[in-house]
Amino acid sequence: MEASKTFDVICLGGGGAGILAAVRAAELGKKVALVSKEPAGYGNTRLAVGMMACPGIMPEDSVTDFVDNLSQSGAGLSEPDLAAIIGRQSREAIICMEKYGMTLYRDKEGKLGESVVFTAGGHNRPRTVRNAGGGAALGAVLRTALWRYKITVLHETAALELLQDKGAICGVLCLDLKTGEMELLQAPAVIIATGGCGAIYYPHTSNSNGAVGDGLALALQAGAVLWDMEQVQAIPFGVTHPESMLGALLGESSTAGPAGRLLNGKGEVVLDKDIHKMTRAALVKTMMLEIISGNATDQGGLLLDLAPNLTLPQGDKLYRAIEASGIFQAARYAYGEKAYRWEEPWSVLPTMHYLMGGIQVNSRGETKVPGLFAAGEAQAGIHGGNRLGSVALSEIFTFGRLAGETAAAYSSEAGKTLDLSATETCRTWQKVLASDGEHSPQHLKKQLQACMWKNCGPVRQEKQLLGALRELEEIETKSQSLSINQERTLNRQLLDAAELHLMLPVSRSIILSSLERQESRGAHLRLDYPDKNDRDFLQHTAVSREADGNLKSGLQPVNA
Amino acid sequence: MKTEPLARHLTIKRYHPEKSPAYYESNHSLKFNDEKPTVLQALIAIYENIDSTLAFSYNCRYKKCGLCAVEVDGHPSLACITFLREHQTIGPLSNLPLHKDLVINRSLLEALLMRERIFMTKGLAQESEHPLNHPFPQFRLHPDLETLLSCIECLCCQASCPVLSAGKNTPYAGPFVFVKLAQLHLDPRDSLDRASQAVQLGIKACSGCRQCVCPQGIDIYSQAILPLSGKA
Repeated sequence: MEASKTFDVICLGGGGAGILAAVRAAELGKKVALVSKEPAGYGNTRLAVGMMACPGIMPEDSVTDFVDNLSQSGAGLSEPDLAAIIGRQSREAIICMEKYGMTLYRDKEGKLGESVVFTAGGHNRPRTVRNAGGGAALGAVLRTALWRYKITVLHETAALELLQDKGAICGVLCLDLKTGEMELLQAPAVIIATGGCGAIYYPHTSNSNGAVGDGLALALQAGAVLWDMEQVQAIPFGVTHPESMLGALLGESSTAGPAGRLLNGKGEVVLDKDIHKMTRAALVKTMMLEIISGNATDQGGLLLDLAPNLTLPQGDKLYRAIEASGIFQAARYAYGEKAYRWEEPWSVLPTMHYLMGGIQVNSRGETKVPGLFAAGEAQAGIHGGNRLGSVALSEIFTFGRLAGETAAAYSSEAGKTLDLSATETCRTWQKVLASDGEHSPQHLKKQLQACMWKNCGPVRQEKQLLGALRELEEIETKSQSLSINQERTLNRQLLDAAELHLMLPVSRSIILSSLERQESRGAHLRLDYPDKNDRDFLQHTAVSREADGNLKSGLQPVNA
Repeated sequence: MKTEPLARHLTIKRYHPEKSPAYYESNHSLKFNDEKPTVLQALIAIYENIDSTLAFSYNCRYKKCGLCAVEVDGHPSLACITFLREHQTIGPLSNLPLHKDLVINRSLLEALLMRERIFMTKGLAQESEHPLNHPFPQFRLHPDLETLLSCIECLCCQASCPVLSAGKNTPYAGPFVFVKLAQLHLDPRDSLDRASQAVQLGIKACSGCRQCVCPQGIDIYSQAILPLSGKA
């Protein structure tokens, strides 16, 4: 292992939140490193459609109006302080992105006027703008933002564990996937911006395959609290085949248009109108109940027939409007041109899309652990039980910058880097990654993902959740005996092994939180507790690690 | 309804720096339940069940990220949306440094973009305090710019460029770099002379053969090379 490298601030995650956090800290004069499993500018940010809410941009809109809208949609779990921050600061964050080269669609006069500002899903008025080129263009711009400052980018590098001295953060142990070598990075401040955990359900996810929630596991291990981990939002329409495209995003409720119909495997109509007005959660529940009752198609999903929309007087216009959002491109690749033109029905299945829960932070992006910060999808408390459309990008830009600022200030106060003794941690990980045991990490990872989808997916009940805990224990035991090929350069098995170990506590957190919340709220749908219960559960679920290493779940008040 | 599994035989061009500096091939026969499996599906199946040392990249699985580009029978393609036919050969993208097997090393191109300052050095927002509400009459999104911004940086264009393949010693950065330069050239916010930069980076060596492949449908010759050469 190489000697450790020293920084003021380390950002984990190479998407929008991580990069803007790194850039902000560097702007404030700090020596910054960015660690990313992929090249910088990838992650889920790159898969974004490119829509971002910008409160107050239209004269009739106001920050208060937006914050009310956001809080109401959050099913009571949205933290008012955090909602207010995104309301006040997302405008500045978007300006900042424009400065780095993001190209927003503007009207003929070059303004963000009526013709280019629209109402995204769940919003009470138009306030959403869009960038040309979507996520890939954002990724490219974000990467160039890193070049403006002397930020050390460790790409193709996975963070394995946070290192602490008397509880305070002092560094990160990483695995360089390019060489298979472990690397020690030293810093008093670490920002977790590793995104959500849709890939815990892979392939049933619209997320990038790396979004396994590894940063959440690091935070949990270090003593941070995870809030509302049961709040993983499924989006109603994902691809069912070919196998390698399973889970790819096809659309949300509004994509169905006013006349779209949903049919089951027997050709019977499940829903014949107003699908576009349903919440994501209500539609997902209807679809999953139909599938569970044995009425799925041979492909394991349902059929979404959009053709009736084309016969409406406004049919063409409607098609063009929804097509322009770029949301259902995957229909073309998976099902062909006719399906893309709505002339043939789509085979659809809900797919895991966004984690509303995550690491608990205060309004400065600080966790309970000294020196540990979180931003973006990895952080909890903004959206509560449901996320409004187009707020995710605004969120990662806003809170990325905020965490960068706080971490920079903290690193100045923290002064000299604490003593780093990582020998024990390194040895443990070396053992995990060099093991010549029985089980392939890629197969155990798949088993875990299948177990989570089946037992703790879009709809849940106690019996299945308890079954999932038992299977998780079995996988945990097997994960102590991995068989990994001996190559070092770009060895996928090394990454799978590391991810597996980090996915286990995250999966357990999702299951424990799902058991804890004995009601249905937001994206969390319990078939055995179908109603919302404000008396007992208008609170965050909270998972933390006990002294003996076990995870414990409980409830914590909102707006404490 | 279920039919017999579909059989496919394929060859993969491998490169393994730890073992040998030479290329080698591995042959595989696979069975799929899908009627139309993708190339990516085959790579994943080989990694999971046959040869865990196979190195390849992918991220989104539906043409959003641009990480999975490979050559299928010599044609640069995105593995995620390319359906696998019988007896095909999968190899890494040409004209790019190789890391291992199907994974190319992107860092040299990135370093070039950074070194040559091929990014927005001065953006719209610095010129006004409230730029989002203020009109910018000079800001017209050129239709070619909109297309150029759809670039997912998959590097299929570099791999398919005959000038790069010919490997003459003249400095020639390749179509990807010219797309990046043209994005800035057509952007009214950019203040550097991108056309002169293009000349320094060898744009005159472009033969105009139009063989550059772009899965996003960018017409690189018309939309990047010509505008940068002052001919659009």
